[in-house]
Amino acid sequence: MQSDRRPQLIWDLPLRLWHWALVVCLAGSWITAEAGFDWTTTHFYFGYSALALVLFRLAWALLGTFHSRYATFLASPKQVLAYLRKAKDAEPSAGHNPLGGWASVAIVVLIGLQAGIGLFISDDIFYAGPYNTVVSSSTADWLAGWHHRLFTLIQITALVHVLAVSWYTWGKKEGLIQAMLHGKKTLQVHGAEETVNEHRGLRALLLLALAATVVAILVYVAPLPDYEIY
Amino acid sequence: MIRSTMIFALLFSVAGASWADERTQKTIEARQGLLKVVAQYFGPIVGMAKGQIPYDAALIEKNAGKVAELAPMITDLFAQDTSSSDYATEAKADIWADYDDFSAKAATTTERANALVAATAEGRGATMKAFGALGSSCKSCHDSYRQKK
Repeated sequence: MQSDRRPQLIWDLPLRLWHWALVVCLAGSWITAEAGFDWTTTHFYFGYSALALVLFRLAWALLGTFHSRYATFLASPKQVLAYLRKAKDAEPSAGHNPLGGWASVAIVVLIGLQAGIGLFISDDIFYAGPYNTVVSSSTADWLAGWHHRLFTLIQITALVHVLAVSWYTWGKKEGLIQAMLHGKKTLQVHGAEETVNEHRGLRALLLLALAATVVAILVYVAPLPDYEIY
Repeated sequence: MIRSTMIFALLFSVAGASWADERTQKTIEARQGLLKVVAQYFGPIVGMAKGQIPYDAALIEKNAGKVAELAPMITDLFAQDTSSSDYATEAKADIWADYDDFSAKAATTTERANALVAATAEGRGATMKAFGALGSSCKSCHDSYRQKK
């Protein structure tokens, strides 16, 4: 058994860079939100970047390498429950495990929602998301409430994520955190179709450029506020 | 006799309570109106700072002057403690728990609005710097005393 376990590439380079870029965006938007007034513009750019990263991830879910594609790891509720029952002794999954797969989707959805809501809200004084003008001020206030609540939820989710991967890394010794750095896990050799032997870097660059362009256009074409001048 | 006195007392207290209620509602509406007017004059300067409308020093001077006239009304309208009323308001009870600080912040806003009026004579850089200072004084009050949504 031990003999046919060897390090295999699981996470393509674009996916790993995407993961750490998202960490930077989350940390950056948190810090700039706390830092106050003078950092709001920077906060906006972290939000736009997060939105572009979410769009990229959705594209990569279709066009990335094997373990990056949603279709390869989204499990049925039955499979998730079955996995939960034996998680402690479960063999390491090559890509996401049945529960982790859904967690990764949940994080992407949460961050997309958070960044999307940010486009509509304002600080009541100076700064406003590009689409603040298209909603009423009471709707914007309501959305601002959700921007704050969702952030708390994102913090909790991130904490659970860190605890979970720490358990897999140091409890189950599966090297999960290392795998998000060098891309490899030491596993039983899998079938040829599950073998990742390319990064699709050029494709990823083009998709990222496309995602960034979409967000930039979205921000650029937003209607200007209609100021009253007396 | 005792019974009719009790009825009168009850009627008066109901009338008194609803009178106080109406007064509270009027106060809250006046505050919200005042701050909306402040925002109306503040808005075009925001637009200029963001490059959405052309820079116009004369308009900034005029609008900042209006803000400087309006800002002292904040402490007039917030003098009455309405923290125990049931009306929907985003004014936090902390305003009256620390009214001196609230007043000081409002006074800073007036000072900085006046400073902005003066800065319009010193060119665009000085004007925008003074405008930033005014904005952050608004923000410091909102952060401390406006209910987070």
